[in-house]
Parts: sequence; structure tokens; C-alpha cells
Amino acid sequence: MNKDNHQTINRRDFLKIVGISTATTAPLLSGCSSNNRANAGTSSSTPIPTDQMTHRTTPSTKDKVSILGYGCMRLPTIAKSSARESDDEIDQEMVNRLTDYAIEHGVNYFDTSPAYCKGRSEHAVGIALSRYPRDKYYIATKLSNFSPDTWSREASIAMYHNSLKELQVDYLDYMLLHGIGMGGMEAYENRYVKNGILDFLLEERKAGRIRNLGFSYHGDIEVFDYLLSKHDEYQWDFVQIQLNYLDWKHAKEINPRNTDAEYLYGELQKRGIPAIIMEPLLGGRLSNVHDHIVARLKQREPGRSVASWAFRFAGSFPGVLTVLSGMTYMEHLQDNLRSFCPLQPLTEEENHFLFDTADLMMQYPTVPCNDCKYCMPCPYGIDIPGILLHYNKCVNEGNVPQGGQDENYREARRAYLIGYDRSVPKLRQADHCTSCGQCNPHCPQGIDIPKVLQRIDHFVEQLKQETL
Amino acid sequence: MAAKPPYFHHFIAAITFITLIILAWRNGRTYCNTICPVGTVLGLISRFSVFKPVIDTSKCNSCGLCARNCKAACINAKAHEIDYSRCVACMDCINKCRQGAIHYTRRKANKAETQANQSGAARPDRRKFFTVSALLATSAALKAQEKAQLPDKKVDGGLAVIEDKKKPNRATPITPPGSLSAANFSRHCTACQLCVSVCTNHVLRPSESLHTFMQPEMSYERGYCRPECTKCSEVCPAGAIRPITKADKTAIQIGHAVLIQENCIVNRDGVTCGNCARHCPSQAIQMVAKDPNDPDSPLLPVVNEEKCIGCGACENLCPSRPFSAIYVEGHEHHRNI
Repeated sequence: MNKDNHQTINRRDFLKIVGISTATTAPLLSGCSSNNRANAGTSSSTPIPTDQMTHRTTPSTKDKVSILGYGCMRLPTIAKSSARESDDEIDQEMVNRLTDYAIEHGVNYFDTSPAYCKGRSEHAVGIALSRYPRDKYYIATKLSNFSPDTWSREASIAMYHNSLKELQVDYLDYMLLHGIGMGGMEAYENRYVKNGILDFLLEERKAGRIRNLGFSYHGDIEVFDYLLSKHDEYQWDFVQIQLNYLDWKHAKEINPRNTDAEYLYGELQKRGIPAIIMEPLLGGRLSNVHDHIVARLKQREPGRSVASWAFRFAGSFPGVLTVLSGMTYMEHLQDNLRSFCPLQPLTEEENHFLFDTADLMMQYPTVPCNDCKYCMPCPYGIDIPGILLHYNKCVNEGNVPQGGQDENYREARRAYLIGYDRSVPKLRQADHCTSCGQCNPHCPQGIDIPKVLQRIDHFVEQLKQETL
Repeated sequence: MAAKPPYFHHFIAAITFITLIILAWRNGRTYCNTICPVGTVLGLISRFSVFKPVIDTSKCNSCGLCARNCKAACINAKAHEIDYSRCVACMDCINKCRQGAIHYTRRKANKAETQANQSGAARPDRRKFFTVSALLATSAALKAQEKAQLPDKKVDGGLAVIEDKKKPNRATPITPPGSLSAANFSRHCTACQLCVSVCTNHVLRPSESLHTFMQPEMSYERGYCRPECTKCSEVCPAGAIRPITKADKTAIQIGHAVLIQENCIVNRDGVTCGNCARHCPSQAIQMVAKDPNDPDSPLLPVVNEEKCIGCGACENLCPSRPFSAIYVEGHEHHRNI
């Protein structure tokens, strides 16, 4: 074969053939995949508008804040094979994508804290937001000096400066005293008064490095009332409270240490202080509801998700500045945007409907755990939220009549529920709880954790022994 | 009733196969020596092989028989040199040489390997090019013909014509349970098609979109992702679909069902149904009365997105054709429920 003669011609023509084939196949490929367009008008196929986000205004600084706030306590983590394998590495790529999508559709409020996501939340949020001009978003963080070794003035101020550094900002739009009420007046005094930190923060506000100062409340109502009584002196720009259609009237019923949201909101309205809402969905407990509740809500509004009811409830109050949602997945973000772009407030009738629904929900003995992870890490390695959530799942599904379920599925599901080894490693299960009680002061929902864990242990034993 | 044959994917396979054969057969094993990574690595090593065919210049009469018969086109008959990075030691040259001038022996230490000259690229065979493009054009034309078939009404006997189900326009594609997330899947998948071939329910098929070309995606026209099947996770070699057990699968949410109420035959044809709710393995679908105040009004399905695992039983068994009244939207990041 005469290789030399055809050498240069070969390559050129070879490239020509390749080029033409690619040019011909490419449009054919793209043409082939367009199959049908028959999803007209489904709630999940219509694009979400980018300019319809409802806004509220902060009375003190006149900020135009989106009614949907991005909560950064439940940031997505890198996907691991098992459910609760030490999920600590934040999926920054996903955080960036979610932030981009959120800002694109009008979200401009981001709430974080030095304690969230094992201390990595501020860092991740800083990376995500620093890609935008500073005036495109409002950052809220907190002084989370819960631990006694951060009570000293130096340590608290260091925490504050670290927040600024991690978030890559020079000033904070919203600054909160984190979780006042937890630990009562004594903790409040230790954290903010004896070390002069509250005065320090007030100075920062005067200097302009904090634009709005407020606090978030859980637990002992005495501190809440006390701080509000000092409103003339401190001039709180906002207060963050837990509000949802279950806690509106039932918070105290669920746990006597908590306070009904109706009271909290009322007190703020009296003084013209805007409310920022946390736990509008109770960490998913108001979307992961019993089948009867799902049927009820969907029958009334087939086009809306179960979660949207909770969000619309929270947003309907005129004194609410923004509703925080920890949107871990794109689906959460998209569904929330549909609820808030624009917000359609609930009618009086819909409100009553929701309160009736709340009454129904009180029948199910689930544990009011929102997976906030404040109780973690347990010094003896118990995966407290893991156990509580798994238990809730069992309760919710155990109450379902088993007639309609597929045999294969039911068996596999029962295997999953009983052997909850998959979601909680054996050594971290409820039977290992020593009842030392170190977790209890940390729970914002006031759950008596050792007592509940013992109850769950008993439940699991019965499941295993088939004596349930 | 069978769905349309997937010409497109068979066509890709055929094209790849034909291209490979041509490249390997002609012009000195182009594929083997130039394109194939295994061949390249072996070529690098074979340069330094101990035993190789060597031309004895004293006996060689430069007839060129060896070069003409060399499958790898690595013999330079004029210079009596052999390119050892391309030589596959097939010994055809030794067989052909009438002078006995080639021996398979220890290499002589003087000359290093010759130039690895041209790539031996495919000859501009115009006929071949036209065949290829004609094939492309025909398949495109065939695909373009969409025959819409309406269900006939016969008075006595006969079988109603069943329209093919069309693939819904998903905003987010679905990836199989075990793939953890779409990002993890596309990063690890080598498009080896093992899972596609082993999927008993014909749910997995190669994607046609350019971004994830030939990587599997799921659709439920021909079957649904059964709860007792974990075959794809068992065979995936690349870690795109991690191994899962049946129990794990009950807790993995790969997507959730979405309703298109206008298509539901309860609304459209005024009949009762409930296929979706009946077959949902996780009992995520309930039939509720359309009018909250009238329990006797027609029953329509509602989906509990927290329990739906995205298996597609509803989409597959929904009688609404050609577009299902309920279909699954994928989740980019799978959840454990």
C-alpha cells in the first residue's frame, strides 16, 4: 500500500468526513428528543415568575425584604450512600445553585448563625453570596454564645467578628441575640448583660455595622416579656418567633414550656415590631403529615402542595416581615417560590379550615422534633434527631390501615422500620440513652429527650417482639 | 401493544460497530494502533520488546511482500525497518516472506524504532460517506412520521386500538435509586449500558439529550421501577448506581408524581378509575371526592409527595393516552424518606 502518497489527503478528508457527520447528526439528535408538550398548566411545569415575589418593608430601615427568607440551618450536604452517614460536608455547588435560583426569583433575605451546620453554614453562605453585589441581599446572623466558654466578653466579640469574616461582609443587615429564653433569665444575663455584649451590639448598631438589631425567642416566656418591656430603651428593629398553624394555638398544649404563637405575634403587633418567622413548617412536620390530612388539604386545593398551606398561613399576617424556610432541595425552593410569587393570603374561611386541620393533627402522638440539631452532639453518641424522626415516621405510617398496600412493599417497609439500623447505627439508638439529661437545656422545643427516648425504646422493643 | 422500536439507539450502536470494524480492518489497524487506549499503551511497551520480527538485510530482496501483507502496516520495505510500536506479532510477514529474510528473534541493538508515521486515517471513501448519510437521513425521516391513532369503537368484537404512550416533558430527568443525585450519576456513569440491558421493566434507556448522551434515563411508558427489583444497582461497575437493598429502596425518593387533572379520564370521559391509587406501592395516592361538600362526587387522585418514591407505577398504568394524567418529575438530589 502506498502510504506516502495518500498521507496528507487522508487527514484532511478524514477531518472533513468527521466534521460533516457531526454537523449532520447534531441537529438530528436535538430534533429527536422533542417528544411532546402535553403538560399544559401543571403546577410543576409552568415556569416560576421572576418578578412576582411579594415584599415587606422593615419599619426602621425601610428595607424591602422578600416575604420568603432563605434559612441556612439545613444546607444540603454531599450525597452519601446511607441516610445519616456523618453528613457534615456541605455541598457548596448545590448551595450556590440554590442561592442563584433564589436570588433570580426575588429572594433577598438569608438567615444563618455561627452554630448552624456544625459551624460551617456561615462559611458556605459567605462563599455563595459574595458572588453578588452587596446590596443584592440582606444577611442575618446571630450571636450564638450558648456555651459557657463563649460567655466572656472577648469570646463573644471574637465570635461576632468571625461571623463578619466568614460571611465576607463589612456590616450585617440583621443581627440577632440567638435563642433568648433558652436557659431563662439567668442564661440571658450571663450571655448578654454581665459581659456587656448587648451594649456592644447596640454600639455596633449606632456605628452602622449592624443595621437592624433583634432577637430570636424559644422557651422561657419571661425573657421575651422582659426584653419587650425594654423596647423603649433598646428599640428592637425586629423579633424572630416560631409561628405556624399548629403552634398558633397548640404550642403550649404540645409542650407546656412553650408559648402559643398567637400570644407572641400579638405582643409584637402591639408595639409595631415586625416579626420574622422561623419553623413555619416545623422542620417538615407540617408537610410530612398523615394521609388523612393530605387528602383533606389536597381535596380543597388540588393544585397546591401540602407545605404551601403552612407557608401561606405564616405569610398572611401583615406584621410578618419574612418567613424563613430551610430549603435543602431544589424542589423545596421551587414549591416555596410558587407559594410566594406572589403571596395569596389565606381567607378567613381557609384559616378556620387550617385550625381544624391542626386540631386533627394533635391526635397523632408524634414527637415535636424539628431536626434543628441543637441537642447534638450527645456526649454518649446517641443520634437523637435521627431516632425521633424515625419514630415519627413509624407513628405516621403505623396508623395507616394496611389493606391497600402492595405485599412486597409492606414487608420491605416493615423491615425498614423495625431494623432502623439503616438510619441510626446500632450504638446510637434509643436503648443506649443513659438519661444524663445534658441534651434537655438545648432543645428549643422543650422536649424531655430522655423520657421520649425511653418511650421509643419501648415502642421498638414491641415492634421487634411483634407484640405491638 | 409494543411501543415504537427504538431505531435511534440501535442506529448509534450500528454506526459505532461499523466504524470500528472499518477502522480496525483497513489502513493498518487504525483503531487498534491509534484510537484504542489499550492499543496505545501496549504500543508504548512493545517498542521495547525482547523478541520481535527482524528483517535480515542480507537475505531481503526488497520485494515488499511482507509490507503488503502486514495488517498493521508497520513494515517499511525499502528501509527494511519495522515499526515495533505498531507490530502485533501476527507473523504474517514471516509466513509470506519467500526469502526467509524475516525472523522472530532478539532485536538488534543498533536501530531504534522507526517513525510512527501517519495515523493511517480513513481513506476518503465517498461511497462510504454517502451510505452513512443516507442511513442518517432515512432514520430521521422514519422517526418524523408520527401516526396518531384514535381508539375505534366497534359494535361487536375486535380489539380497541391502544395508542402509544408518549414520554412526558419532564422538567427534571429521573435517575435510578442508588444514584444518590443527578450530579453523582452523570459524573460516574460511563454509559456502558449494563443497567439498560439488565432492566427487566424497560424503564432505563439511553438518553438522547446532548448533555447526558447515552447515559441512562428513566421513563415509564413500558414499565415502572418495581419495588422488588434492584438489578441496576447490582450491575453498575462505575459507582453511578450504588448497591441498594430492597429495604433501602422503599425509602429512596427519586422523584414525585405530578397530576394533570385535565387528562384524567374521570374528568375527561366521566368514568371512575383509581388505577394510580390502587397500584401505588407506597400508598402515596388517595382518591378523594372532587367536591369537598359532596362525598358522592367523582373521585380524583391526590398525591402525598412525602410518601411518593417516584417508581412510576401510576404513570405506567394510567389509562389516559397519549399523555398520562399523572407522571413523575425527577429530583436532582434523592431524598431518604
